Amino acid sequence: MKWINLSALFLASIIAVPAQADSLADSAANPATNPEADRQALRNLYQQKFPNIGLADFKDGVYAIDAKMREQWLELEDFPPYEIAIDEGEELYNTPFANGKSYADCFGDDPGIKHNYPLFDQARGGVVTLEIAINECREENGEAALPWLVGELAQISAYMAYNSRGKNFDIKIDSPEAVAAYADGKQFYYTRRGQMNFECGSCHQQKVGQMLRAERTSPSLGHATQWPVYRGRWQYVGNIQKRFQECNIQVRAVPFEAQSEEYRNLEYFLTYMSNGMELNGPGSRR
Amino acid sequence: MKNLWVFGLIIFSVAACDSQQQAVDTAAEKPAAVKAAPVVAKVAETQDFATLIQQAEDLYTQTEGVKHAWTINLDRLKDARLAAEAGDMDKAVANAEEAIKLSRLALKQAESEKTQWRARVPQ
Ligand code: HEC
Repeated sequence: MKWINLSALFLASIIAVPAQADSLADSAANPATNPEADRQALRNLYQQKFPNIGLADFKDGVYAIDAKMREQWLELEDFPPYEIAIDEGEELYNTPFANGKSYADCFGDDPGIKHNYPLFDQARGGVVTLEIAINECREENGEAALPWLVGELAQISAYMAYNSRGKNFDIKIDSPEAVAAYADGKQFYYTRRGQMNFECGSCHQQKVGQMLRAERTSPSLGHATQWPVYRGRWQYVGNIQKRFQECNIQVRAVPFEAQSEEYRNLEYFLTYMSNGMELNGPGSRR
Repeated sequence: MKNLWVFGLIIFSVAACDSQQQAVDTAAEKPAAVKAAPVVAKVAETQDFATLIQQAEDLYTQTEGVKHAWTINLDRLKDARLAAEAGDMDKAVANAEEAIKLSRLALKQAESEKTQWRARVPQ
């Protein structure tokens, strides 16, 4: 018995030493993550790159930086293609579950709560997106979860986004665990992936506004404000993580699962970069 | 390698037994050896390919493990398997080798990006 204890201790000590050395090295190279400083730095970057555009205007995505595209977009907004999705989402939202309860029992009287999502749930130790909250509400009330990226879930979020219009993002990162999730999303964002060896910022920060296969790349500031989005190419309304997958595939990286930890943390980081900005979803894009 | 030759020769000798007439006609050693060569090569190729595709798939799994899998790698693995099924071993081997090369690059990317990403964060 004694022998086993001693050898276990010995093993533990040789395992522990490198681990400790590793984390020391890491914290030396990794100054404490400061989300607010990151957000300010990003805003400064856009101020310098586009001195003639007000920072609040970046809520309109690529239409903030291209006057001609903006004109076409505003015309389209007269008969917005996402309108049907809002109507369908409203009906879904207000239809009681089989048990007689409804979404309002989960979310309160005002469905306009998108500005608080994603949030970090301390109890479960992870990021909760609006889509997860919607599906959990369903499951708690005995309904099946909906597919993540398109269809009814996107329509319900479209309705909730519509009711959140005009509110400002109020994302909170107020525990070490939340900071860690944010830091993970931040690392994901700036990490080069795929055979093309691009990170998100390659197209949306360094080369922002340049043409890429007949599309002009949109600014990363304000990237979270307009979701879900009706895209001409999709012909329906889809959620932000569908776009994450497409952008990964564009650089020939294998995409991650919708609502995977990777994408949840990425969404948390990206939305925090838009913190304080006005929500204007659902949006329409080419 | 030696085993493969023996295996190939056995296959050839079985085939040779079937056609007595041919064996008589080509009693000389030389044509027999020439005939054996494609069969042996085929067996060797199939064995080589099995090793290669296994290695390619293992490496791909490693790229997934470090979250740096490339879609083009899936294409190459698929092309390799399809070519092998169609009996085009040259193409199968070439695709498996390409997949291995690409996975090594993806792993290198994963390794260097562990630190490189920091330099891109706006300050
Ligand atoms: C190869 C260049 C490229 C890379 C790398 C890339 N994207 Fe994109 N992204 C695009 C293009 C092109 C579009 C469509 C046009 C536009 O920017 O709105 C787009 C659109 C988007 C949109 C929608 C913007 C809107 O207004 O609707 C978001 C959000 C987005 N990308 C996020 C990301 C994230 C996160 C990453 C990293 C995982 C990433 N992108 C990597 C090219 C890229």
